[in-house]
Amino acid sequence: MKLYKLNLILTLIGILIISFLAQSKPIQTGTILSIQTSQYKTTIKLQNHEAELIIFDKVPLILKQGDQIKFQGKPDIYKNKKQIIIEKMSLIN
Amino acid sequence: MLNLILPLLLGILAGTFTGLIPGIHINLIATSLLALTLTQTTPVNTLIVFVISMAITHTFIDFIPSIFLGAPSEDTSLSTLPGHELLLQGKGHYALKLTLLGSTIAIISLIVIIPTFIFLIPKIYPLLERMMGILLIWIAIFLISTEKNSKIKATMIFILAGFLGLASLNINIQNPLLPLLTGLFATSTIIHSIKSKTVLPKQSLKTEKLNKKEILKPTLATILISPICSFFPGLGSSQAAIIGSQITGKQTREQFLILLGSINTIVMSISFLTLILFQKSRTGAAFTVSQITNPTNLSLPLIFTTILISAIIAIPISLTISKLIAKNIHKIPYTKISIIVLIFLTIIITYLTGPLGLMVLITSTTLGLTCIEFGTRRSFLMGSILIPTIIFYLPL
Repeated sequence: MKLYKLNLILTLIGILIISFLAQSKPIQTGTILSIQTSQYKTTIKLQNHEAELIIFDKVPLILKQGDQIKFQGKPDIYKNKKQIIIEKMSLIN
Repeated sequence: MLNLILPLLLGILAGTFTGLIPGIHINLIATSLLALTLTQTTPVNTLIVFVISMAITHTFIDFIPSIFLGAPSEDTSLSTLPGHELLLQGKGHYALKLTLLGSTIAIISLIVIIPTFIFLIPKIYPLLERMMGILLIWIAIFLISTEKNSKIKATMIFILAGFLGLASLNINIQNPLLPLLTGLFATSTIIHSIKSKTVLPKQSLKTEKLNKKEILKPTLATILISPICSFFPGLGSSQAAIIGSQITGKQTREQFLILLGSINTIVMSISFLTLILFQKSRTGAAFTVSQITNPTNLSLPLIFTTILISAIIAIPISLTISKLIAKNIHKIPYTKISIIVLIFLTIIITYLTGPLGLMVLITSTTLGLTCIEFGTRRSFLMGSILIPTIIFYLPL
């Protein structure tokens, strides 16, 4: 097999594995401490959770303080603060 | 005054370090700086001067490893970069001098570019921002259409890089760009060099004289291309240099190296100006500055003076290091140096980004190697940044 074919096959396999890993982020849970909404985003603070949850979708949320939620997202750091950019979120109770 | 001179010198030292050591980028030092509690009590201007001097020095020094490392043997000329071509002819120091000349042109060009930017850009930027996605697609098509070898292979590399970029940027690691870009551009080049068992000739310190006409073309290209570099996120120096070459006509290898040097420095310098004018950070260093203070509070004279002084000090540093390397590189087995650098990069990336980062590094390395084997321009690998940026800007 020519070397470029082997490299190409390895690249495709690698992209597939990374894409799969990008989809399977850990599901976390927490209780809402506060919710702040601005024009572009919603910020949720959780009890006993260092990172803030950031939602950029413009969908109105029906969440309130004390609600238990489960979520998935990408960890990030903004202005030296830990954040999770939310991709999926749902109410538990 | 001391609280500005000291960070300036420390920044130059840090920039020399990040520029010389492959895999250690200024973004790494800058983000580590933000995480330090010491920085909470440090005056804002001290931090800004440190970050800017580090970033500017890096743009002068980082051509040293990219010229002196990773060169393939002469028989693989299709995939040889202009700096490596000169290195294989014993003119590595001359190649570096050309990039330094370019960086100097960039600093001088700032005198023309800054007033134009302040006057013109705020008027047209809102319109361009709305059309960003479409314009980036047009630039990608333009770049592929200028490929001299197979356009199909170029498109394939560009799209694969895009998929890899999309997946890597969404993976659960901090700083995914580090393994991604290292694999695409550094480790793949080094592996290719090891495979071709390169032996370097003795390097000459002599330089060839360039006439004013030869310098004029890259200077003009730098001034014309600088708005494109500042407006369009996701465009790297090499793509900007290709567009610049297309605008001003065919360039020689020497002119292309001058242009690469100038664009590298101009992209960094203008990113600080873009930050003040539009509060947009186009480079990691500008992003760090935006995290230190509100961009509207930034002082343009302070930024420009820092850029100027850093450049003046970085030039003799670069020349001294390059001379030292050029005098001695033929004495050391080149393949051994390449293997040591490859192992160092793999260890540092695994340490900083974990097993997932290593996975990204391996995949991006194989894609980089595919691109070299195809004989396609390596700038198409920047699809890894350009495609995610296009998707971000398109109103889907």
